[in-house]
Amino acid sequence: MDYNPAILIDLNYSNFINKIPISEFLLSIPNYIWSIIYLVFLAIFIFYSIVLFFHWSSYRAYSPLVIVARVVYLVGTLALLFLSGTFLINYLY
Amino acid sequence: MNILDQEEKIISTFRKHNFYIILEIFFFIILGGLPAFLFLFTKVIKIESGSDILSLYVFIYFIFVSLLWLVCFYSWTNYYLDIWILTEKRLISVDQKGFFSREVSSIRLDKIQDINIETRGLLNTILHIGTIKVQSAGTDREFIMYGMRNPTRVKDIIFKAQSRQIDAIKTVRIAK
Repeated sequence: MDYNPAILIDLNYSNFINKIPISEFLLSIPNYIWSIIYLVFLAIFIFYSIVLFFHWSSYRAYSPLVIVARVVYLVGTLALLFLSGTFLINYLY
Repeated sequence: MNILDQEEKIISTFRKHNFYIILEIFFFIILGGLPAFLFLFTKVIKIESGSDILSLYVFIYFIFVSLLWLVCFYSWTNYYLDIWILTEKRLISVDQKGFFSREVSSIRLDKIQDINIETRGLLNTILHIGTIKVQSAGTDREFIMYGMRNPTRVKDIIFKAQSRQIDAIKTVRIAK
């Protein structure tokens, strides 16, 4: 096989995210679309969280472990929603 | 919904071994941490600090982590709600299938004909994990739980409860 230095250059993956136009594409999306995406995500998240809590209140889940799970889930969820919301606001404004 | 009759006492409950759920959670942690690791400690993802696009990427990353967080707890809930409940009268199997469906079935203890245990592989042998099959007399139904923790102990507990139940039935018949 012939030695082709061009292939070697292509195989250099460092900083690859800047070589594909994904950033340009993301920046071209209007701000209101991002707000809608976040609101839809929030609605889905809240809905499934309610379902999870409903299951954890069932007759099969009466142990201290479930109480711990509830607290961990609630704290983690609030932290993640706060962080995602903060960075979205930071991007939008 | 309560599947137990009034005054029906629970002898024991059985679940799958937590090894599988720990493995799953570990996988979610790796998946969630990978983009952050690549960004912070390698040059694979290089984004200018303080730029607009950084905030956007971090926002998308947190959405991704939030979804993983939800899926992680969903998996744990599925694991936790899959349960066998042994009462003094019967063995109840509750099979949680996703968020919105479950299958509840039961076998009377005196109808249990045989219990098979199968352990395969080195890891399952070391961790005492196995498949347990409870076959009932008369019908073709059988309960199967894969990845059961300590199946030999489960088998012993079920057989002891069955013996007690059969003795109780005999005592009632003799008394009559």
